[in-house]
Amino acid sequence: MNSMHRLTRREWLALVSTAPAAAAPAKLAPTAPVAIARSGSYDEDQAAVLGRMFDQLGGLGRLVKNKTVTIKLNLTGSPALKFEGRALGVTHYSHPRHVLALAHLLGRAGARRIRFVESCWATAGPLEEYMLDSGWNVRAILNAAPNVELVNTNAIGTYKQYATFRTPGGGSIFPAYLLNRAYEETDVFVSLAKLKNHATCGVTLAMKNIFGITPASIYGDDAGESDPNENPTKGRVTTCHFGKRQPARIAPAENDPASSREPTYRMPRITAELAAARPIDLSVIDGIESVSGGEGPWIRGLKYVRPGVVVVGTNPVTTDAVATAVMGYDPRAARGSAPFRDCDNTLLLAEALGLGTADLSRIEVRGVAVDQAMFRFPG
Amino acid sequence: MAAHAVYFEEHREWMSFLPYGNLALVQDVSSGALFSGGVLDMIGVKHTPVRPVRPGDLSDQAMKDARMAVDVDPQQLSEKQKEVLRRFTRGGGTLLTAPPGWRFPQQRSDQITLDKEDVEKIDQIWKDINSMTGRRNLGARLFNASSMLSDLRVSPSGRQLLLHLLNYSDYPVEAITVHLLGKFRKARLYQPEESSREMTVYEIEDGTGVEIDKVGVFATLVLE
Repeated sequence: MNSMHRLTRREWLALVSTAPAAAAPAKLAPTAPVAIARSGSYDEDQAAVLGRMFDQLGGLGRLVKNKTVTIKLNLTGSPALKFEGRALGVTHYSHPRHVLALAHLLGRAGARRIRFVESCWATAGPLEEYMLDSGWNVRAILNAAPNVELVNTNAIGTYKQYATFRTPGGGSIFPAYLLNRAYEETDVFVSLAKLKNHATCGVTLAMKNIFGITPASIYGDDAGESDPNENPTKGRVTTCHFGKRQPARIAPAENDPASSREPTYRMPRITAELAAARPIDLSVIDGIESVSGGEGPWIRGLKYVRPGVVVVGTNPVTTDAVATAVMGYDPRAARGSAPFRDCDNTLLLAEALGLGTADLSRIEVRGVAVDQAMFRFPG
Repeated sequence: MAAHAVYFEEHREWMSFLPYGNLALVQDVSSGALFSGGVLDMIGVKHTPVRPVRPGDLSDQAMKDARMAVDVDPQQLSEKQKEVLRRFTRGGGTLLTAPPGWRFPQQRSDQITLDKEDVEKIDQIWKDINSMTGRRNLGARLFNASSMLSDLRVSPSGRQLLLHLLNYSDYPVEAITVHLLGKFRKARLYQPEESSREMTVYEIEDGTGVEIDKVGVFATLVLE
């Protein structure tokens, strides 16, 4: 671990009390408060934990009443791939207790329709079956509130066509993304993420979670050259991470095929522009139990950790910035510094797109203070 | 080990139960039935219940409960055996046969697993088999059972189904869901060195659902 790039509590206090030298773009970007809570176990009443946090941010009802709320889960990688035999929800997946709690709270706050979505790894099969394969109690989730739906967005699903989401400003990698229409039929978009490192992007929080909204039918390694492959069986590494092929021609091709093919350049940009193209209205980051050192069991050096913390906010950049600080990192760290040692900083790219500020001195934290919640992830 | 031996001794009646499932695999030793990693294993990994039917045993009776069948080596069948499969398809069954000229890899005397070329050859028909069986319930579907082997059997009377589950990982498996084809009123779970217990059954689209909270090494679900 390189301690040069880690924050001590004293350093963190210094960071939030003085604006950094590179703060010019941050001053233009919007800010929003972020709530932090400590929770040591999923056995605690998570509806109470999240409910208090939503209240600290002004209440859930004003955001979701009579709305279609779409919640992007984090179910990365095959459910068959467990880490140390542990349940997926305590390592690299969203936890079903959080899903139940969120569904209950959304229903109570008057949401008209509650849709849990994920582009399930290497399949266009029902999300319900993917959840069962993850060991989740699907019946309990469907009964947690009225009008709960489950949609696998890895292909076109029950729709007749895809929806186009243009990247504001034309985009760095793609000018627009074609997504399952569930993302268009959305009034409030929620990212239910996990507090983790990411091998390519340094951290994977609310914004990185929504890379998973891209359908493998179009952006997958076995997508058709011209038309989508509605039965995808692979991931999106060749197309998105490495740019070795273009998405199916139904979707706009890359802006500049001569640009860097390096995943640590491409993925932070794709993540930031997806967050701009399909804005996130509510970010819920689960750090009760998680993994450090990477995003899933396929990453060497992964470790099971118990940060015992939850971070919630209405702006994905401010929420990710606070969550990054809770992990013991400087959210404005440049490439070369932990956690962005080998990659560009997604938060700064999103900030430059005007999505929100990553400047901690401009973000109001409610509930538990960052230095009280801090759990150091590896440098 | 002793506890598991005792477990089966205590349930000797299960020995008379027969393999059950709506998928029949027409195959014998000469067409790769003993190969580890072969078609049977690949179907088994998906927990799709499958009944191997040796070509010599192929009859209308042997195909009675099957809705789908795979014939990996059609050249091996006699005209009479082919006629059984024709009647099966005329009766509404789905039959997948290996393409013309395709032959299952020949097994050497020292060979128990497939080599790379064999795998590539089997892959030519596996995609079709996988596509045909898909997510259909052909007797039972198991969820969150990736580190398990399963075996679905039926009692001689046809009134009871039995599902053996073997967990080969180092850790207990939790939260397994079983979807069984057909309506069952009662389910009971047996595990070595534990008291058996009644399980809650619930209705699903194509039959009956059961949720098993935890399996250490071995468990048997009996349904009626």
